Amino acid sequence: MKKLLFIALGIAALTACKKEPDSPPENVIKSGSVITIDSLRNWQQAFSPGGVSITDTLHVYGIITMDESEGNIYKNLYLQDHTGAIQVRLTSGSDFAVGDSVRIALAGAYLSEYAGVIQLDSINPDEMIVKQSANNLILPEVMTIDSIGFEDEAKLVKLENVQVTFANLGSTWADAYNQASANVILEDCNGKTIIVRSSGFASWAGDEVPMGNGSVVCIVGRYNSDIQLTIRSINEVNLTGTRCAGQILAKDFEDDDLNSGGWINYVVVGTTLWETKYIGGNTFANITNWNGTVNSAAESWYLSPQLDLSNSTSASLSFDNDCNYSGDPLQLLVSTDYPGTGNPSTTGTWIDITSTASWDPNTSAWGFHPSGSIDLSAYTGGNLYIAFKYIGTNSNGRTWEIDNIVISG
Amino acid sequence: MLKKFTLLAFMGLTCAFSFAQPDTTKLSSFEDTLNDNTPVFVSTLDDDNEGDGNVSGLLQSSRDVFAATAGFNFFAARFRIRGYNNDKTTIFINGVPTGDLVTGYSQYYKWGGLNDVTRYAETKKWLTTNPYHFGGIGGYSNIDISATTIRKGWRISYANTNRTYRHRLMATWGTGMQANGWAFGVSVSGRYAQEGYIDGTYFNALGYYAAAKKEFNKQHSLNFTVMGSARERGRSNIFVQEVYDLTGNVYHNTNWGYQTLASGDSVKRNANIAKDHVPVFTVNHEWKKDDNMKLNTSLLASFGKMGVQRLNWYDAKDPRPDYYKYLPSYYYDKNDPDNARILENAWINGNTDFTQINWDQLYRANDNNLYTQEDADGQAGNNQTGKRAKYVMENQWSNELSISFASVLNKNIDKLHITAGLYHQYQRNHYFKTMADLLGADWWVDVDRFAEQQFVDPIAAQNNADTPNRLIKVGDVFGWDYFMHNHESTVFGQAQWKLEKFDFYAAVELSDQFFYRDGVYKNGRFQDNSQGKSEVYNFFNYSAKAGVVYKISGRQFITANGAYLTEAPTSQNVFISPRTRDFTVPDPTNETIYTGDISYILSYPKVKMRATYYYMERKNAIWSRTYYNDEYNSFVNYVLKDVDFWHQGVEFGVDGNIVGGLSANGVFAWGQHLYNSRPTAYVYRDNSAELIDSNKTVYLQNYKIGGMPQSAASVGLKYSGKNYWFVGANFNYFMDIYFDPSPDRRTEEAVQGFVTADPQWEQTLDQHKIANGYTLNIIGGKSFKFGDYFLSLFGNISNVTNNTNFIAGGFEQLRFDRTNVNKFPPKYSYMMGLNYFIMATLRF
Repeated sequence: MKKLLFIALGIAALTACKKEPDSPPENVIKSGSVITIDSLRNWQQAFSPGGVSITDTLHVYGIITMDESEGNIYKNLYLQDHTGAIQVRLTSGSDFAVGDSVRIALAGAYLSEYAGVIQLDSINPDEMIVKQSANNLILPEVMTIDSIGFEDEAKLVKLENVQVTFANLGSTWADAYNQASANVILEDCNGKTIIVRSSGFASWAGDEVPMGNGSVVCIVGRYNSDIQLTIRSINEVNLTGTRCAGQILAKDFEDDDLNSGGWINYVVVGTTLWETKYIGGNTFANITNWNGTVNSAAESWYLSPQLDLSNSTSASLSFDNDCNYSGDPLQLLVSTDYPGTGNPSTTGTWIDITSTASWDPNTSAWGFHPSGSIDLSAYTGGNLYIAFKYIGTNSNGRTWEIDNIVISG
Repeated sequence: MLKKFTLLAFMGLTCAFSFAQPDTTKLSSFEDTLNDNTPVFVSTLDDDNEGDGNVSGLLQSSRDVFAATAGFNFFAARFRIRGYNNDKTTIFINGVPTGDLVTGYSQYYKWGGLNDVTRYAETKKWLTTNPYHFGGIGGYSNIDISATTIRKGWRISYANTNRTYRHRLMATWGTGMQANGWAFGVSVSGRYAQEGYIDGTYFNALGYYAAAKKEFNKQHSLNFTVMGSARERGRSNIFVQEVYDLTGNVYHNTNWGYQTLASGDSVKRNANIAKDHVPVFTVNHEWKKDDNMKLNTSLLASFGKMGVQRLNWYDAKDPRPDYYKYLPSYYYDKNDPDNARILENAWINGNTDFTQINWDQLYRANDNNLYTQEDADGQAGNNQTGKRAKYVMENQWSNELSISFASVLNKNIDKLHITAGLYHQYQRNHYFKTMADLLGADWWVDVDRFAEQQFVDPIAAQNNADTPNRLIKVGDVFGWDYFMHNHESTVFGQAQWKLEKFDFYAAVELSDQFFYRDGVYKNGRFQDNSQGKSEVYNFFNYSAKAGVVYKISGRQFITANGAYLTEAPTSQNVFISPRTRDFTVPDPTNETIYTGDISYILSYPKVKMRATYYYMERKNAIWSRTYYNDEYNSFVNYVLKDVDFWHQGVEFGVDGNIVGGLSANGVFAWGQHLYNSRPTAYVYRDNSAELIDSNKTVYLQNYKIGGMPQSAASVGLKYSGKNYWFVGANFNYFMDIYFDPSPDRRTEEAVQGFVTADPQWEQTLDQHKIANGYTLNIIGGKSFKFGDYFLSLFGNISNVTNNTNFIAGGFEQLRFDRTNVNKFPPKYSYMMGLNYFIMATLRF
């Protein structure tokens, strides 16, 4: 009993002097010193086109909607909160990631405007941005090309049912070789267009634009009177669907599959096959009868699937082509009665329209050449097949490359 | 009632004032090198404290139930009694203090494995009378190594365990005191593990002991003893949690790797090898004038080698697999998940090119590095072309030579017992490096890679400016070469009175310590203050203690003790980066210690109990480390002055017989071990000694002293059978474990730019707390007698439930990056899973 009492008293006395750990002088956020992104934007607009130097101890909280990791922006971040979004310009590169919730200390920052874009400038990422937590994902607002306006500048949006315009097919997002920025135009099925601008440093800058229709997630930007979209990640560009009506066939070989879509590789003479080839971010169809040692006699057809032009009154074809070395030209043929299977050299009636296309005139260097628009209106009203016919001999033969086949009707 | 009131008042006082304690962070700062910017941590699974499972010899011999239980059952959790470091317990050999003057620590390694000799140490814990010397505030342990302590006859034992070593064979022989006045004793102990509990570790040790004693007459005897232990150990290391998660192995060890031999075979090789062999020689003379007067005089000498073999590299990537830039988190933090996943897969798949030292890669790097060293070996025009080593294995030596003299007189005058003693110790440590293995290269150049990057003047990079560009071959001394000389002299006196109701004692000690550095090399960065003798740093100190035992009855006691001490800082703490220069902390001063305890003790044949309240306060300690500081972008010497500590707590132990051979025991230790000041930091650039920051306040007050459970409890049962057998089990629980706070995180500068609402505020400042843990241990034994032969079997199983989740030790990394406060998380080790020790002993 005595000992229990002793211990109880002892513990009571000891726990009475519980000690809190020390701390350096506390820095607390004063009430009223946190402002929202729309207040920042309004603040700048009040001084537009001049800028505002922030000297007070103010803070803004937000979530990073675009980071620098893919190279499409550098020394920049986009920040969004429930009131709006803003471009943040950094004094050095940072490791902040999409989804990071951050506090930015604004003392020393500068609000400015460039070509209509409101910028929170002079932010030292090491000293002024403090990460609060990670993986706070903001969903993009689904918008249409029509509905995006200047008021959406810096906002994360998603466009659905859009595609790269016909004119831009075959090009890359930007000039990766010269590390120069470039524009690609997106359109919807109503023909409304909008600019996507990509940096030559973006990890996908050298990739060929996809031909399909689908969705794109991006940040809204502006260059004076133009709206410009900025892609965060190529993974958020999902243009794999069927293009808008009016374009019945498109093949860009980016799926690395010669036969997808019903195309057929048919060898009549020899063993030379059409193949896909990947160079510099682009995949295309390639054929040569040179096996590295000798040429061999070849006749190889690359046949389209059946095209239904029964409702069409006009149709056209375009593709990119490239040839090198000496030998026979590539032939372009059409047929309205080919049954879809069988040896094309003995089956169906084929009309040679080689002369209607523009062919790569330089047979001693690489580089794609556009065929121009080939009128197929004479073959509408029923089914149509088109074919590329490759000819090689035992003494020579060219290498031919074909890409971005588009048939409209 | 009055007693209780007094006690309460006493405790109240201890809260009102502040008390302190020892520097727990002193893991092994001498290992803290430029190669290794975090302090090397001695794993629990290591053998440095001779915790070889056969129960800490020191504690086991204590009859106090608290000390005995805590010693065996709390050992694995790194529990420290009263939170003291082991420098607060003095280990005597034949009455001569044997502490290391450089570090203050005891040096069990010198006689490791000689359990037959050291087992019967006389141990008293805490503040107490001491028949040898003033002793430490944690108590003392005297190992009598004279020939007569070895029992007459043979004692042969074999032990098998799965801990740091696998096998131990011991043989001991003694004559006892013979009619001719001579006694002889011999003991040999071998311990071996090709691979220990942890992958890639190994253990080889040979301990030896020989003693001869001559009794000239009833008054005079002379004893001569030599003993030593030669050890070589392949060691393990500890990690951030990420490494344990990736490997799925809480006992991972990156110190080893596969090396392909010329034969094509692949062998495991450890890159961190500790070697030591520091034998002890003693002569001691006993003079028993009569029953009331005894004079013991001893001379002790000890010298030998102690070193660590480890990797060094030049102009090459860090070979340590756990270097932070080789972990996935480094890339995740850089928002580069692609590279992170590549590393993650390599680690998860156990690709030993990533998870272990890649020896073949190191050899390849050396093999491909053809280099022409101009003006080699300090000779202009001496251009040597060869394979310059990028990676080497080097030996870092701290070879000790020490000589001690102690003489103590014990005399009874009526009810008064007087003890008086003299003691002097000289210790010289020689610190230098030798080349152990060039890993296929032709030579290494003796320059400092960090200095080469930092200074324009090429001489600055020279470790030995007298011979610049020295080409180093295997066996050559290089890098640093200096001596540290330490002297300590003390006189002490103690008086004890034994009265009917009270026993009193009081003791005082005066001591003088001085030390200096003597550099052999002229370092290129410190040409004026690296070669030759430094200033002598002298410290005079005094200590006093007193205590009383109040005998309520023959079975009940109340004891109270108090002490006041001043202590010199150790040379290790005073000198900053002595490898390169003669440079010290500013104005080193003595530490001050106050301590006291009060106990209530019951001692009945069937129940024994002790309850104690203690406090200890330690003031003005120095703390200094060298590490890479991201704020200053440089290796820095980070020095804290005025570090205060306080400890208080309650110890309770009870051991009682329940029925027949069944007894139960319970132990409870509640402790509060805290930092008790806001130390001041001085920061120097390591390569230039430039003072970069001074009078920086470190907000450490009330942070917990880390690396140990602040509190622990144990309950156990033991059954002793009639035919010389016993079995026992204890359940142990450990509470309030923290990592020791890294000072630089607790500064105003560390949280600059953060507000209290930011998660970084707490992540930077909050002390890392470890989850409470438990163990279950079983112990048992049986003895047989066959004629004149005694056979005894003994065994224990620790952590029977194989609890592998318990973090038993670790530290916060000193490195800290304000832009990513979790970039350098704590490193820690997990307690060993189920482990056992079984032993058979034959005596005849």
